[in-house]
Amino acid sequence: MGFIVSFVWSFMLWLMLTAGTKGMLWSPEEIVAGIIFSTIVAYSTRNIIGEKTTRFLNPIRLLELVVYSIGPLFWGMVKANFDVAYRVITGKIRPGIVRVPVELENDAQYTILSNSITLTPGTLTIDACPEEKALYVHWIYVREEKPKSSEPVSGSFEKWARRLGR
Amino acid sequence: MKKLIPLIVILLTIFGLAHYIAPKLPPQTELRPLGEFYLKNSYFGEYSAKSPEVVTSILWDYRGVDTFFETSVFFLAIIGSLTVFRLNKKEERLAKQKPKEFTGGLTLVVKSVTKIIVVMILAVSASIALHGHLTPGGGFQGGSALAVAPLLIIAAYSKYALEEHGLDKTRALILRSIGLLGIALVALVPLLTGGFIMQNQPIFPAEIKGQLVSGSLIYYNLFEFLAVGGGFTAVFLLLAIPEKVFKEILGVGE
Repeated sequence: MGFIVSFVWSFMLWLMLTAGTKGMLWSPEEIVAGIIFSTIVAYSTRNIIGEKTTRFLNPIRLLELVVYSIGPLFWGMVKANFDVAYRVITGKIRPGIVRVPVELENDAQYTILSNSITLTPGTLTIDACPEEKALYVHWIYVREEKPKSSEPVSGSFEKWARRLGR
Repeated sequence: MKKLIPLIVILLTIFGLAHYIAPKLPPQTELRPLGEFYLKNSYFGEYSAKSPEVVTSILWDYRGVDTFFETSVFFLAIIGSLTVFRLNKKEERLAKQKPKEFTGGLTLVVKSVTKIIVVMILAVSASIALHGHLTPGGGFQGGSALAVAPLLIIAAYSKYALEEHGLDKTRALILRSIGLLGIALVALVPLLTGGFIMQNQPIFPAEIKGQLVSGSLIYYNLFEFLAVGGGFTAVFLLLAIPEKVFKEILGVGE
């Protein structure tokens, strides 16, 4: 299974990199070369890409990912950008590291949530601890020192992470 | 404050020099004859290398022997580091053994991102190398990008993870040797048909089924890709052996 996922993933990337070799499309030689190299790449990374990888190929999941990144994530980043700009100009900062309890199940969900938090300016995930079901987040302006959920730190991201990584 | 004064002096000197000297330098308005030759000949022209990418045609065709020696310097550098870190078979097995207290790696966020990124790095590096005769890039760049993938795994997981999945020093060296052998063969093939060493046109076909492959350039890029990627990976694997373990194996104390 890892082989197929890895193959599709690298072949898609290859198509993206070589688009436009024949008009706007791909010349057949380019596609043949892509298949050969994707096979080699897939063979060498088939064990690395990990279990439960079929979710990469689920089109609904990919669509959800796109919706998430242009919707809530982008909006969260815009808001956070203005917030950080305000704090940079006025100097009103109260930095600190908080422990954020989260309700997530697998590594993918932790990764998505941590990366979303890191991507928004002002917050930065320092560590993810699945064994204590918590993230450690550096926050530029600590509003709550002991948040009960991830809501004050990251808004709706946790809900989306649970949905995307299941 | 004391640290600031030298900084200010240095900055003032640089800006002053830039302000006074830069306008006095004659601006380069026309191509130098050599550059003009390369630009005009690399794809069209009489001495064509059949490649629209001028840098690659200089690298592997017009100044091919230079690059050949550069590759052998790289080869010697890798051989040198392998010799410094040489181990016999039994010692190598010891070096591959995971220490008992090893828990391993960075946080799970980095680990799960690495899984996805590694595939992308490999695909991108192959693309850089294989299109070296058409777009910026080439064998060395592609090979360096290739070596980032094992480096990332070493950093995020451990060198043991890499070896458990079958990429150990020996295999990396085999990859590198295939690359070097390929470069040498491609360089020598023109001799068989009465050409010169490292000659490109007209011995190698410039197009295969209408697809521009620029004669020997694509083969050089491909083999250099393997040689550089394999060589770097082997060195990274050697450097990833913990110093403590290494000294224990060699039996040298502090």
